[in-house]
Amino acid sequence: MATETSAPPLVRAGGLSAGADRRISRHRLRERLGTQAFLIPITVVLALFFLVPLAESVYWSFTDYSGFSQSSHLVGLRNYREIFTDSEVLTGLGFTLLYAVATTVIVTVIAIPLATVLNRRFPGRNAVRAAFFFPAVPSMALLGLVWTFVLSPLSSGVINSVLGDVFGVGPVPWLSDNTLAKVSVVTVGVWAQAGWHAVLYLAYLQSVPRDYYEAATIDGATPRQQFFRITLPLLAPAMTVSQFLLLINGLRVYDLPFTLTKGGPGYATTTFTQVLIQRGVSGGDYGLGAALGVVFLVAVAIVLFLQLSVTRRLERRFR
Amino acid sequence: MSIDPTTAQLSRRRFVQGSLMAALLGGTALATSSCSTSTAAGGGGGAKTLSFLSWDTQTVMQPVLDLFKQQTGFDVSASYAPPVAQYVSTLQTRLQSGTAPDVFILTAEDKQIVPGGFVKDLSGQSSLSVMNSANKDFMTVDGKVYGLSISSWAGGIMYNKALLAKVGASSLPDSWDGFLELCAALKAKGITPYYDAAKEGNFMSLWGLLGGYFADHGGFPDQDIFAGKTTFADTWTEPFVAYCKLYTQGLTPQSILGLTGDQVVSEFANSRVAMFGAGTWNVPTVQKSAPDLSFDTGAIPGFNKGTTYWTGAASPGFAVNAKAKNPEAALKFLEFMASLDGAKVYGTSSGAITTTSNYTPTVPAALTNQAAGARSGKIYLPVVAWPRHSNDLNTELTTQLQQMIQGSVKPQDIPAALDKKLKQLDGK
Repeated sequence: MATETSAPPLVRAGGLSAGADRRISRHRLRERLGTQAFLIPITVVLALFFLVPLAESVYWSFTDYSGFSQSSHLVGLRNYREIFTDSEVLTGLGFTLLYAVATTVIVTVIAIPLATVLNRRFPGRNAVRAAFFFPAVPSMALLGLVWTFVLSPLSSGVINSVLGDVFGVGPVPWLSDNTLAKVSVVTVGVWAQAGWHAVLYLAYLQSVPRDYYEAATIDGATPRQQFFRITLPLLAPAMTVSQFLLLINGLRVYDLPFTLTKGGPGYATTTFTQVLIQRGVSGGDYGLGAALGVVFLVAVAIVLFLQLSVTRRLERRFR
Repeated sequence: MSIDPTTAQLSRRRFVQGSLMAALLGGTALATSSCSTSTAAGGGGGAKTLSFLSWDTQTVMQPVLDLFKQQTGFDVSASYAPPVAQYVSTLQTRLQSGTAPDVFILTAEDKQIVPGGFVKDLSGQSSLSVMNSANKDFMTVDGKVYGLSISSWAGGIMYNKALLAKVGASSLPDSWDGFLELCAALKAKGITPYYDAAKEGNFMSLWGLLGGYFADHGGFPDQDIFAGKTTFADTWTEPFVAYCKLYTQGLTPQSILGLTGDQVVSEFANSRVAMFGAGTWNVPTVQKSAPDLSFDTGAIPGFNKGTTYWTGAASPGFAVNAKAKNPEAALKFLEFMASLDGAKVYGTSSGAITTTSNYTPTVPAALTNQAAGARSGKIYLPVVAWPRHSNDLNTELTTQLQQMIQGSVKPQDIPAALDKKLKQLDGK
C-alpha cells in the first residue's frame, strides 16, 4: 500500500532544503555535545586537582611564603635563582637523572632478553614468571628497608656475610661509600622493576605470529638474526611504553633511596623529590618548594617529550 | 528496526543534561566534602568543647583526655598527626586556613609560627610555675613563654658491661679523652668500640659533648650565633674536633654511615659493639632483644675532666591558639596538664619522663640514670636550641659530618660551613 505524504521534500535542486540542513547540523551538534559530555567529569577533576594547584604553585613560586607567617611577599625570580645555584639541589637533580637514565637503560637491556626466555616452553615456566614479577608487588619503600639489611656494610650484612664466609672478602661498604651507595640504589631499582617490564614485553611477544620465525628459519636466519630482525623491531611499541614508565618512575623517585640510604652518605643519593620535600615542606620554604615543583614539571615534560620523539621515530623506522 | 527520533533526541538531551548535572553535583560534592573536612578538622563547636591537635597517639592521649573531661566537664575534640614533618605540615595548613584547634603542640620545628602571631603568650599563667627551667627555656621566645612543656628525654652512652670488663673498665670515663682511650683499648682487643646512628643524623654523643663544653665555657651560644654576635666557628670548633677524633683516629668505622638506628641497636644487643649513643626509647628494645645482656647508660663524658652532660631536650609543649574558639577550656587544659594528676596520667600513659616540680615519676631501674639526667635539666640538643632554620641547618650538619666520616671534609671546616649556611638562609 502506497502512502502519500505532505511533508516538504528533503532534497531540493542543488542540495538539501534549508530546514533539513538546520536539522542535520543541530543533530550533529547534539551528538558532538553528547560525546563531549563524557569529558566533563574528568575535566572538572583535572581542573580541581591539577590545573588549579599548578597555577597556585606557579604563583607561590614567586613568593617567600613560609607557612609560618600570615603574610608573604612577591620576590620575583629569587627562588628560581636559588635552585640553579644551590649545590644540594643540583646534586639532587644530577643523581635523579643518573637514576632515571641508568634504570631505564639497564632494565630495558635485561627485560627484553628475559622476556624472550620466559616466552619459551620449559617446566615450571609460570612459577618462574611469577618469581620475576614478584619484586614489583611490594612498595619501593618496603623493598628499600629490606635491602638495608641485605646491603648492610657490616660483616654481619647478608651479602657481606656470604662474601666473607665463601670468598674470604672483607666487608664491602655498600651503603657507606658514595659510589657504592649510588650503585646499590640503582641496582635495587633495576632488580625491583626488571621483572615487571619483562612481563610487559612478554605480553607483546605473545602477539608476534610464529609464522615469522618459521619463515626466517626456513630462510636460514640464525636465532641471533631472528632476535635483532624480528623480535626487537616488533617490540618497538612495547619499548615506548616501558621506557616511558621507567623514566617517569625514575624522575620522581623518592621512596627507594630515602629508605635505603636516607639520601646519603652526604648528598650522594639525594633525589630532586627529596630536596623538594625537605626544603619546601619540612623546612617551611614553600616558595622555594613551589619553584622546585615547577622546574621539576618542566624538566620531566622535556625529558618525556624527547623520549617519546625518539622512540616513535624508531617505531616508524621498524614499521 | 527504527528509532523514534523524538525519543532519541530526548534521550540525548537527558543524557547531556544528566551529565552536566552529575558534573555539577560532583564538583559541589567535592567542594562540600573539602569544606566539611575543614570544619571537622577545626574541632567541634560548643562552649564545653575543646579542640586539640596531638602528636602523641590516641592510645597515649585518650586516658589523659578522659581524666580531663572527668575533672573539668569539658569535652575534647581531638585530632592526631604523627611527628615531626607531618605534624608540622598539618598544623601549618590548619593555622593558615583558620581551622586550627584551641590547643596544639609547639615544638622546635614549628616555633617559627610564634612571630606569625598564631600562639597565645602564656607568661604569668599559674600553670607555668611547675615547669622545669630547661623546659621553660625551650618554650620561651623573646622573653615570653608560649607553651607548657612537662617532660624531657635524655640520651647518653649505653654500654655492655661484659665487653667493657675485658679492658678493665666498669663504667664510662669522666672525660672525652678518657672515652677515646677506652675506645682505643676496646679496638685493640678486637671489639668494635662505639656507634652513633650517623645515617639518620643522630650523633648522640656529639650533642652532649657540646652541651657540657658550653656549660663549662660561659653558657650556650645559640642565641648569640643567630643574633650575629658570635659564630659556629668561634664556639663549636674545639669540642667538635674532639668529637671527630672518633672517626679521624679510626675508632668508629665508616660503615656506620650505612646503618639505621635499629641496626645499631641490634648490633649492641648482639654484643657486636661495646657502646652506642642511646635515648630513653632504646632501653626497652635492648631489654626485649637481649634479656640476659648486662648493660647501663651513662652521661656523655665531658670535654673537661670530671664533667658530664646529657644529650636531650624538653618535650614539645602544649600551646594555645591566639584565636582559640574556646580560650577558657584551653587554659583549663594547660592547668590540668600541669597538675599532679595530669602529669601522672600523661607520664604513665606515654612513658615520658615528666619534669614538673609537683610530681616525681617512677621509672624502671634501667632508666634511672637517664631519668635523673632529664630531670636535672643538664641536657642539650642544638636543633631545638636554634631559633630558626633548624631543619635546614641540621640537614647541612648531618651531610657535612657524613662527608667528614668519609674523609672528604675536615672537622675544623664544618662549623664554618654552618656559618655559611646560616648566612645563606638568613640572606633570603
